[in-house]
Amino acid sequence: MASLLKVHDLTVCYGDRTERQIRAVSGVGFDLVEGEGIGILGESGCGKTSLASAMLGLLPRGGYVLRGSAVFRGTDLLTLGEPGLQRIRGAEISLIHQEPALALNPVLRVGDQMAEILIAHRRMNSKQARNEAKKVLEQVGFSVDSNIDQAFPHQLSGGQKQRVVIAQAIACGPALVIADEPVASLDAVVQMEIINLLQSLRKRLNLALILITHTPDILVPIAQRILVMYAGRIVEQGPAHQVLEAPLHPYTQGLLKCGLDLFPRESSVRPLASIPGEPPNLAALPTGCAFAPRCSDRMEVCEARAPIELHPEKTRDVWCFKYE
Amino acid sequence: MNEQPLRQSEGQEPILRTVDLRKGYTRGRGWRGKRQHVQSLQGIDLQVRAGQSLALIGASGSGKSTLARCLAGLERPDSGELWIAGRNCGYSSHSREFTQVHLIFQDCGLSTNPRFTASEIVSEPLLISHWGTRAERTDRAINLMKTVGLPADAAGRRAGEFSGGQRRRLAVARALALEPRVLILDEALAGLDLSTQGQMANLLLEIQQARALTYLWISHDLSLVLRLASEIAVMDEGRIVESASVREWFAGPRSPQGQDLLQASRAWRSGAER
Ligand SMILES: Nc1ncnc2c1ncn2[C@@H]1O[C@H](COP(=O)(O)OP(=O)(O)O)[C@@H](O)[C@H]1O
Ligand SMILES: Nc1ncnc2c1ncn2[C@@H]1O[C@H](COP(=O)(O)OP(=O)(O)O)[C@@H](O)[C@H]1O
Ligand code: SF4
Ligand SMILES: [Mg+2]
Ligand SMILES: [Mg+2]
Repeated sequence: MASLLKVHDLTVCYGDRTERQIRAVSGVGFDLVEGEGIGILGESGCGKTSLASAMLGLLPRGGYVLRGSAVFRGTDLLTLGEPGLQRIRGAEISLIHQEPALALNPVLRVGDQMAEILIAHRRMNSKQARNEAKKVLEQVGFSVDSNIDQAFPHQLSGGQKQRVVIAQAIACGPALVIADEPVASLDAVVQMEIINLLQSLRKRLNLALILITHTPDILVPIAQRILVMYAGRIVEQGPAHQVLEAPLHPYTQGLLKCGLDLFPRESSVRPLASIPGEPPNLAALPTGCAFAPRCSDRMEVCEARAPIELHPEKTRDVWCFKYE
Repeated sequence: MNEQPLRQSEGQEPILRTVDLRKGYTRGRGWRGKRQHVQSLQGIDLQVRAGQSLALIGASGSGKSTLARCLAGLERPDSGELWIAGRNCGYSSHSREFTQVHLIFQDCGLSTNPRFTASEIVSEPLLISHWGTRAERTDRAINLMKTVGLPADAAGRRAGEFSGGQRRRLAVARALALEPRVLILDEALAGLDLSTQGQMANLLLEIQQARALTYLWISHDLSLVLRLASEIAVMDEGRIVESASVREWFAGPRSPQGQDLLQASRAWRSGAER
């Protein structure tokens, strides 16, 4: 399959270029082929959003790319500049945020804001755009007679808003959708609907999808491959079912245990599983493995130098001395 | 209500009690041109004993947050009675009794002004209720921050510098400032990392034990609240349709709404196991 995106050694920092600099993303690299679904899993603060924002030139003030490349269909997004990025954003690559409300203009009707995007990127006239908007809204599960295009965002539930955001994201037929915690603010039943919707759209439209999340559950229907991030680095990557069923990195193991242990077995109040401690301060990362302070498998070497990429199995990469 | 109210131990006045609580909203025109009246609470009879851990679950829009806001005095019910520790709070949301009930909601940590320092955020409720001198308030704030496991140097840091989990800890510290007897946790752990969620839940359980607090857990995440509560109440369309002990309920919910909720969460999990 054709390569769609090649990210190499991407490093993103915040703050002045002194020692107080925060290294939010360090040397991240991965490849994505057309139509592929990958999951990026990691606790908050580990750099997932910075990674996505950097690729789309959407880093907040104070954030910058220190080095690396992100080549999308032969063009390096990181050196492209704002005019070029504007042509790509929303048209070839779209981003879905965690908070659907932030992605919608509160004073425009749903149909009108969708039409705006279509007019800007697909050079439609306003009538064509309005009709097309209705069609796309149908694709994300709104029935024709719901007249959802006439609604204002505040009249919609969280799940409906996120559907509208998804409709906007796919309106211009992008090749890649990056969904950053797309269901984190929704309730369990709606979460499942949205994830299933993303998966069916991915198949139908041959979209590549990067699903960013801190809950492993939602990756199951979508991700073929999973990258696990910790403190700005990828610590493990491999085929989704292998990573979920037999995680290699102690961090992934801990994370998955927290998830699975949530469901009650004997239904009595008792402590939950958790990984002790918190992710490290990104402005003062340790010299060795960043997970070492929280790791129960820690060895002497772990604190002395940074783990290198190892391949205990052919399809899998892990950055941990346990596998040396 | 088709079930008996939550069991009340003999002779002990419940810490929270509502009788036929009702609350409605009139919403602006819908996109189909209708002006809508939403009856969010349609007669809630609820009793919560001191020291109890009650989970309030229900699909979104079932009225959980509205009930939470009424119980915490942040909103005034249209009719019905609300008793806190045996006192009728009437319709005045200024009733002193409401200091005994504190509501923590999901984005409370995020809605605080990012330029406030941690100790300012935690001590603000003390300031509002004219408690102590400035130095005493700061002192108390620092103690509370210790209670919730924030590092000693956190007091002077600004809210914006804290991680999501730490902000949630701040919110808990702030909630404890006026020594409430009841904490209402409306999706208070939602959106957190699983590990942080586990840590926060454990912290809240410890605090509950140490301070003999009553908890009302509101969440759509069944897997979480079922681990944290001993009793459960299911809401649907502004009513409590079922209440039971968690153990009984988990073995087989009686209300169709309860069955749906349990099934949805199981489907999700079993999907994850595939
Ligand atoms: N606007 C910002 N200014 C300074 N630091 C930031 C900013 N945004 C993020 N960071 C830093 O980058 C780290 C990674 O953040 P983020 O990419 O949002 O992680 P995630 O999406 O995994 O939660 C954070 O821990 C924070 O320290
Ligand atoms: N301030 C408000 N104005 C108008 N309608 C509201 C308001 N708050 C809640 N509602 C409506 O009341 C119903 C119950 O909402 P809520 O209490 O937030 O439910 P839950 O917390 O269970 O999701 C919903 O239909 C909601 O739209
Ligand atoms: S390298 Fe060492 S400290 Fe890091 S995860 Fe592996 S065993 Fe733990
Ligand atoms: Mg993020
Ligand atoms: Mg709510």
